[in-house]
Amino acid sequence: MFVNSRWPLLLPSFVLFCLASMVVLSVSVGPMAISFVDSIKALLVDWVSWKSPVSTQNAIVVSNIRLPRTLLCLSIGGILGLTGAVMQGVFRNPLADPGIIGVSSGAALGAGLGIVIFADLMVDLPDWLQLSTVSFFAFTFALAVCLLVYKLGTSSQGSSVVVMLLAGVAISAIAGAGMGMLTYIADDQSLRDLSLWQMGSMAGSNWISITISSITLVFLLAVFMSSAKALNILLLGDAEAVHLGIDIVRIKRRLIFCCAVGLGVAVSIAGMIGFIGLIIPHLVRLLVGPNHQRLLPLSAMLGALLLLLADILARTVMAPSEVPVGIITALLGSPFFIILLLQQRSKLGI
Amino acid sequence: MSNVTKSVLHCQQLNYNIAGKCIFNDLNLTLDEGEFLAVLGPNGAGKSSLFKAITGELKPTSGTIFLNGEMRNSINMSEIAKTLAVLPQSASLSFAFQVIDVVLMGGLQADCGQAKVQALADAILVEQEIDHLRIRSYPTLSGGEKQRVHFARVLLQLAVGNKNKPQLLLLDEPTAALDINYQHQLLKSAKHLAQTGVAVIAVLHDLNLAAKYADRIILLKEGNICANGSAKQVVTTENIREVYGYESTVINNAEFSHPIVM
Repeated sequence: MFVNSRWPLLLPSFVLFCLASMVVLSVSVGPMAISFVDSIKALLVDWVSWKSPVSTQNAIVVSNIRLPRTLLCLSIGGILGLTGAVMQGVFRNPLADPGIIGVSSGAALGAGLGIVIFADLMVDLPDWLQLSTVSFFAFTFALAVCLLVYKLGTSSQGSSVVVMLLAGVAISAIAGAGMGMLTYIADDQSLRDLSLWQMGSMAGSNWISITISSITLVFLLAVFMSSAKALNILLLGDAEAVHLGIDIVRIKRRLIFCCAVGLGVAVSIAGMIGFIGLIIPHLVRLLVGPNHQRLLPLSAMLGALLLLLADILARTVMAPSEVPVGIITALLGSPFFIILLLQQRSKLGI
Repeated sequence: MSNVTKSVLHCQQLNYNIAGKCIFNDLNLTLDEGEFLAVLGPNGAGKSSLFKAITGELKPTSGTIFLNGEMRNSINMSEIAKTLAVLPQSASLSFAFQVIDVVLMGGLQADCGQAKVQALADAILVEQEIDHLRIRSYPTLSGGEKQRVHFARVLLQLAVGNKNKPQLLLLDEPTAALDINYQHQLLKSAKHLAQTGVAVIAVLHDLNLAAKYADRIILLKEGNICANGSAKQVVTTENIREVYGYESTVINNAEFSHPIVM
C-alpha cells in the first residue's frame, strides 16, 4: 500500500506530473515531427499569448489538431475511470465494468439509433445540438441497461457476478444485433459514423465535444465526491447502510443515473472504449485502498492518463495510419480481465 | 398511553404474515431507558423477523412501532440512525478497507467535527481491545475479529448520535462468531452501555449468557411471547420444555445471581 498519511498529496501530485508530461508527449507525437520544446512553446503561445519564434505551422498543428484531441482523451478517460469506480461500488462488485456488463453496448446502440434514424432530421441542427441528441439517446439506453442489469443481478447479499456477466453477454448480443440492423439500413454517411462507435476513436475531437465532455466530467466528479462517504458505506451492505441512516434507494438511483449520463456522453463522442473503467479503479485500490474519497479523484486522473497513453499508441504503432483506440484498450484490458477472473475463481465457485 | 411516550421502544400489536403464514401475532413489547432485554426462542420462532421489524428492514403487516414516543415511520432515516444502532449477525465486506476506516463509518451522522469523531473512534478501539488491528485490512480478519470491529463501529454510531434522547442498541446473535472470552467482553460492554441509559435488545441463543447479562428475558415460540420477566422467572425447566421441547436441569445456586441451565 502506498497510503501515506503524512503526505496525502504525494500520489496525486505524482499522477498530475505524469499527466502533464503525457500531454506534452501527446502534442509532440504525430506524422509531423515537432520537438518537445517547440510543442511546449506552441502550447504557451496558445494559452498565454506568449510571443516566441515557433513556426506558425507547428503552432497550428499543436493547437488545432493535437491539443483538442489530447484534451478530449483526458476528459473521456476521466469519465470512464470515474464511472467504472462508481459502478463497482454501487454493484458492490469489482468486476462491474460498464463494458463487461453491457452498458457501453447499450449506449452504443442508442447512439447508433440516434445517428441513423434521425440523420435526416438532424442535418439542419447546429453541431452541438446534434451531438447532444445522440448523447441523449446513448444516455437513455445506458440507463435502461444499468437498471436492467442491476435488477437482474443484485440481491440483498450484493450482486451475483455470474448473473451480472451473463446479463452483459445477453445485452451485448442484443445490442450487436441492433447495430447489425442499423449497419444494414444505414446510408454511406451514417455507415462511416457508425463504424466509429463500434471501435472507439478519438479522431472526432472538436471544441464542442471537448466542452460537453469536460462539463460532464466536472459534474460527475462533484456529484460522486459528495456521495463518497455513502459509497463507502454501501460496500458494507444495504441493510447496514440503512442502519447508518442512508437512503439507499435514492442514492443508488442518483449514482446509476449519473453513471448513465457519463457513459452516454463518453460513448456518443468516442465510441466503445472498453476496460478503462475496469483496470483503473483496480489499480487505484491497490495503490490507496477502497476509500472512495481517494479512489474517485485518482480513478479520474489515472483514467485520463491511460486513455491518453492508449491514444498515443494508437497514433504511433502503425503511423502514419491510425489504429482505433478501442482496439488498444481492449488489447491491454482483456488479459487484465482474465487475470482478475483467475483471482476471483475461488470466490465465484467455478 | 403513558408508557408509549416514556419508553424507548414500544411495539403495539405487531402482526406479520408472509405467504399466508403468521410469523408473529399481536405482539406487544415495551422497553425502557437503560433496560437490557434478551430475546430467545427456538429456530423459526420469529426472533429475526421481530428484530428486522424494529430495525425497519421488514414492514409489519399491521401494528405500530414507537421510538421515544414517536411513530417510527414518521422519523427520517438519519434521525433514526442517531438513536438506533444495529449490530448485524455478519456483514459481508469484501473490499480491503482498513479496520479504522470501517469503524469510522459509524461516525457518518456526526454533528461534531472530524477530529472529535476520530478521537472517539480511537478511544473505542482501545476500549474494545482492537487497537492492534487498526490498520489491518478488513477482509483478512477472522470472523470473530470482524464482529468486534463492527461492534466498535456501532459503538461509535451511538457515541456520535443524539444524546438528548435515550438510545437503542440492537444486537443480532452478537456472540455467534466469538470465543468465550469475547462473548463475555461484548455483553459486558453492552451491559455497561445499558447502565449509561441505552436500551439494549440482544437476540441470543445461549440461555446462560442471557440469564447472566439481561435485566429481562422474553421467550418467543411461533410468534408469541411465552414468557417475559427476569432470568429467575423465565429460565425454568417448565418454560424450556414448553418452548424448546428439551428436558433441561436448571440450577439455582446461591453462589450465582442467576439460574444456570444444564
